[in-house]
Amino acid sequence: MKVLLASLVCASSLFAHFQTVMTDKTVIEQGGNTKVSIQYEFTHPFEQNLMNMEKPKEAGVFMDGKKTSFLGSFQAVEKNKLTTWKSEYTIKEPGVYQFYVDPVPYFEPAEEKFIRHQTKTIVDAFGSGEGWDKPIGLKAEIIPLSRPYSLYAGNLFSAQVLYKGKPVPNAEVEVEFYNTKGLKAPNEMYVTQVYKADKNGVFHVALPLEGWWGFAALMDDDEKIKKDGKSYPVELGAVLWLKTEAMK
Amino acid sequence: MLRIGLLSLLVFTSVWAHKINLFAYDEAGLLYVQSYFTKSSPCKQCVVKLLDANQKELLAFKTDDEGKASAKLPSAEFDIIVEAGMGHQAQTHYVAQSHTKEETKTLPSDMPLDKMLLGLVIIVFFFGVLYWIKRKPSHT
Repeated sequence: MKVLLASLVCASSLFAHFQTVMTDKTVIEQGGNTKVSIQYEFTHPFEQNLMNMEKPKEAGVFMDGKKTSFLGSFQAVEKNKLTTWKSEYTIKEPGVYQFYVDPVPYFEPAEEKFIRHQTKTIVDAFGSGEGWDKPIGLKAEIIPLSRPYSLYAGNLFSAQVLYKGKPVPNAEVEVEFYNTKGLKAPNEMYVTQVYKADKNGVFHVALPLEGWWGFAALMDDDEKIKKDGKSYPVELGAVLWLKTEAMK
Repeated sequence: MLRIGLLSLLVFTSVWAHKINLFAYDEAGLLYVQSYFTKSSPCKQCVVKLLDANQKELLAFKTDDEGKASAKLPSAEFDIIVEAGMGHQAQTHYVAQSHTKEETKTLPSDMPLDKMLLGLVIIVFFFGVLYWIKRKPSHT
């Protein structure tokens, strides 16, 4: 029985948790619909195993150096008896819009730690072209070095991991495909891929398929969270989502 | 020859790198146009042309130094072209949201014949009824 429980714990730890922020469009063009629908999930993206997500403590959009919160427009969406969230935002002027969420830290009993994934995705409106490589000021953040809203499947994506605004040398980055195609991994090792950043926190990943890709740079936060009189460490994740398109 | 080749390559490259973007919206009968290479690099003093479905020019004006311009909506639907020289051009088909057609006043001369005839029939009927009531002898 103990062996079974232990193996279950081991198996579950292989599947990485990812906070998601995904939009229904990543580029807005003149004449197109400017309303962006945003979907927020706490999930295992490749396996498509959802987890429950509380209403986040902070969420909004960053544009032209300013954050605008729209937490008030959040609506709960029930999926498989678990809560996910959605919101909408109407874009009215040219710019690069970084949609972000800072979720309520999730307590993972198996690992005796809290998980807090500060997550964002980036949308361009009307060919503005500037601002996709600007930090928005999250405690942990991935800064794209490749323009994130115009990548083909097969492109190489580069980015830098920051913690408190400074590069994280040798950061470990987990990468998962948001697998709505029902793809099967050859074995569990292929579900979450792992990359190491260099001494400047820069990493490179090739993206073989069209669809949404999540990047999570995980680090130990300097803050702890108390629960039931005990202090627990916090796994702080800098998470970025981007969508690749097929070249047709 | 090599120099010309290199120069033409440079020109070709710059044409592709300097893509003009065009953002337009309308409000209360006015069209607002913003044109730029990137957000911080506006298309200054660029010619904006509004063309109808037959590509006939309806209006032409220039952007200011911020790449912005505005004009009265010429019609409900038209093409917008922004020209920046050197082959740089952006074009879009635009459908206005706030365009209202001016109400056409119905002048007496424009009144259709059937409506005039109906009016005459009503008048004749009304006075005919009055005449019939007055003419009718009272019984005492």
